[in-house]
Amino acid sequence: MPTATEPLEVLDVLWESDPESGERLPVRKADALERLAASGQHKAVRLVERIPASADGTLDSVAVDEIFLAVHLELARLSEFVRVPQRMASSLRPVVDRLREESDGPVRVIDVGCGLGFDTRVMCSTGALGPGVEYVGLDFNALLIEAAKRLAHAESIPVRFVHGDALDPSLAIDDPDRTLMISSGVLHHIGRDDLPDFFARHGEIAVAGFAHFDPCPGFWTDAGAWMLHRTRMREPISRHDGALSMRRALRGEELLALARAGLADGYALECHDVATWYPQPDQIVRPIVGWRR
Amino acid sequence: MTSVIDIASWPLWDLDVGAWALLGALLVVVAQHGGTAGIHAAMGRDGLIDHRRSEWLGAVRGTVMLVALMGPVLVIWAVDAFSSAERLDVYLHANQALAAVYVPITVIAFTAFVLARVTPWQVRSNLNSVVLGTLELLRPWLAAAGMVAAAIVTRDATVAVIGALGVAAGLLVGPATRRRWYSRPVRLDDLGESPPSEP
Repeated sequence: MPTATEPLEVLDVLWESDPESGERLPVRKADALERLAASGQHKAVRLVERIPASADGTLDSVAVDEIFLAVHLELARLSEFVRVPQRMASSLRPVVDRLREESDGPVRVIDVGCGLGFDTRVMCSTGALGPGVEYVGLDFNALLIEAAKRLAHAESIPVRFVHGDALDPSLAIDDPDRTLMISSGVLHHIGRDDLPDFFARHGEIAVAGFAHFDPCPGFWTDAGAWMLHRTRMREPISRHDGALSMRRALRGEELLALARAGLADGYALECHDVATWYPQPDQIVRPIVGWRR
Repeated sequence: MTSVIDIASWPLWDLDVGAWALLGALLVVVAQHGGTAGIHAAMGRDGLIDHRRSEWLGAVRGTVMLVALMGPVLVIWAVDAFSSAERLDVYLHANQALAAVYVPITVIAFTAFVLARVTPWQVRSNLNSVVLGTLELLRPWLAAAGMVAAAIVTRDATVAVIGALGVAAGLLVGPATRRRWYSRPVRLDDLGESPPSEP
């Protein structure tokens, strides 16, 4: 989680889960407001003030559910507009091909913090990574996982969605040698302080590789994000969090340093920032890729 | 001065092909705006990969809303424009100014839209963001620019007022469509049935 002085996205303060069981915990409105006020985010405070609370001071869970669904549905649509799943597939394809060459059997792609699972559903339904690929989406948010299951079911897309800790090996990892961990827009949520541990978990599980996509910070990313969130998103929280998430994103060098801090020499790492002097919407997210040595 | 009730006396029937074509082009631009506004109002609510159905429904609803909002403006326009050949001539000049602003923009948007669907994903991503996204952001200003151009060309206060009403009505189509059909928050049950539990 980000430290108190780092800017927070509104959604970060609206949902809490028990770290052990993953069970949803009630969130006190006053606590949510205090966390945002502590980081000087007055606009975000105003957004949370509008959310109804129960008599005991906890945020109304139905209202919070509606916000989470609305924001993630808009995010999925934005992802489609900018072609994020295709961007991810273009980077993942060579990684999956390499896994195929190393041994026989299906390759499992696990989307960490998948939300509504839009990216994995697109990659699965279009066969973007070729045959013999199993897709699993994991998220700590039970609401989003249930929504992802329903959406996959509605379009008969064979992605498995699981509620729980994405890096818990018992949930989705059968064969680490054939497993690729991926994510999109998750790294900046984890934050600098916790990223070394996040990467270290990959080493402990000994997955064959990972490719975590996050926005590449820069002027055009900020400007593009602002424009796209103004024109394609209506939820005020979507606009707030979308613009902020771009500013929280880390440069490639910093990501590599944090990954090395967690993995030492266990994995070969790559992360290439895109050129920032002209707009490249098709490169709005770029991966940090790791290969087990 | 002709009677508005007497349709046969409207100077409209004396228009040449060019003027009709211009009027038709502007109507296409306006209708396209209604459909697009409706699609925008509907988007980001179904979560599906294939949402052509909800987009079609959004387009129809946006067009209906456009007719509802711009209908009264059209009636006011017709009463003034068809009152005499001179008044109609003023509006024909206004149409030329509107078309000079709106048609090129619509052609650019339409070309980008079509190209985005037949080119590789990288091109589509860039066209969507850089061209369509920018035009969407500028939509209110472009709409106002057309009206201002028409007012300047005609130097006619009535044209300016009716133009301003038309632009305002047009810009309200998206928000009104959302308010009428898409204001209810999405809930889990709107996203389909829960699949049977895995064994």
